[in-house]
Amino acid sequence: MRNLPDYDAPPVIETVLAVEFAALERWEIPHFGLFWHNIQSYYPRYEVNAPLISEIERPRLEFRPPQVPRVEVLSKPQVRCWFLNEANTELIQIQDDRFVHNWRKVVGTEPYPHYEDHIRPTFERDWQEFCDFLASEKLGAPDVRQCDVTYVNHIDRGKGWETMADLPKLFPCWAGASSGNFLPPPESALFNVSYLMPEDRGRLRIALVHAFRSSDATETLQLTLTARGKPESSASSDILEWLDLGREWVVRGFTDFTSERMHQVWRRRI
Amino acid sequence: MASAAVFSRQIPEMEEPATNSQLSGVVLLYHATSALLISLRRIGELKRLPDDWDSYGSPRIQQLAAQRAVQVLSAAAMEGVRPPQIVPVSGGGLQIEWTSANRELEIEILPDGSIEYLIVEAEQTYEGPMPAEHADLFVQGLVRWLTGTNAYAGPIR
Repeated sequence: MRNLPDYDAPPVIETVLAVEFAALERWEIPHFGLFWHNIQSYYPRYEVNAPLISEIERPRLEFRPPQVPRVEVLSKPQVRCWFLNEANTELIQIQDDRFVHNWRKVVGTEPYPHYEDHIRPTFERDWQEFCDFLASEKLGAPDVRQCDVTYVNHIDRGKGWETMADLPKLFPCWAGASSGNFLPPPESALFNVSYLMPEDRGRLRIALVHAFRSSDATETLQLTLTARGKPESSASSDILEWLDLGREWVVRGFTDFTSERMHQVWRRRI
Repeated sequence: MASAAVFSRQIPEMEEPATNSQLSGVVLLYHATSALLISLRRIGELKRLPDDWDSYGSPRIQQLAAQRAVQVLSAAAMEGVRPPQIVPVSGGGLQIEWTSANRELEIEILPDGSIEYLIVEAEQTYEGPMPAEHADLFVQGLVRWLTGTNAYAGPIR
């Protein structure tokens, strides 16, 4: 049952559910192909990419000295594989410390398949398949370090805003005011905000960038909400519990961060 | 399927994301020049032209052409050039034109995303195809020629 804010026409163009775990020491290149064999009916296509870096959230913001460049000698090639469905709208990404499920718009007209109806069950099915594979190949159970829920939204120009002077109409936190009258309206904007989730459950990050989408030549505001945190344990039930929490923070955070005027544009139901 | 077949080809078909997100194909505008912003908005306007916009049955601007035009304009913006004239071309393509005191540069994006260019100086002209995979370097070389005084020596001839 849906009890979170819900929209008929949400601006979401991509969702991400991800699990980061301690690198699987016995994971080798052939395991990508062996695992693909198990999921090929869902994901018949693939791509090979460079691995994602680790971005573990700390419970509190910390001073970290600048990283000194270092050279690492890799004992085996670092690879990330994408396994994609036929329409390219869903993929899972595997590397030796990561499992990621993405849904995204490709054509632009695909309806958002709701979290409860499709995204969560699909993640749960694929994650279980992955864990079963690790067990069958005696690669060990994932020691989970962090879960990640990301929603990427595109608020297109002409759908609630025309210039940056309209930002206060979109985001209540942006008053658009100034102490005097020297500055003209902003030409562009970029901001990052973070919020701690209670009881050290994680952190929600909200990032806004002014962008131009090449695929359909549309100017847009890209609003990305990312919740990250560590589940109680590496059990699938705890991972799903954290993803539900992260998703709740993303959805409630999105609704709090955006204006009621925009909620009408996106046809809020609940 | 045998696992050896998994790595039989490595052709990236989608652009690389910055994070776990697979989001692709956006040009960040925070650091964009006003010339680039003006040009991108012009592409956006032209992309909204309907089929038969020229009354001669031309299809609308094709997505590949618009995407390639964004690539060309972003590369040109790196050279600090002023906004070009951008016009639609029958068939669903786009033409991007710059002129300076005695030089002209025209870049035509065909509906399938392929690129051709024409340079004019006095009575001399030179035209040719531009390999899309090297378009950034190529465009920057052409813009430097347009705004400079040296003879054209493109990165790839």
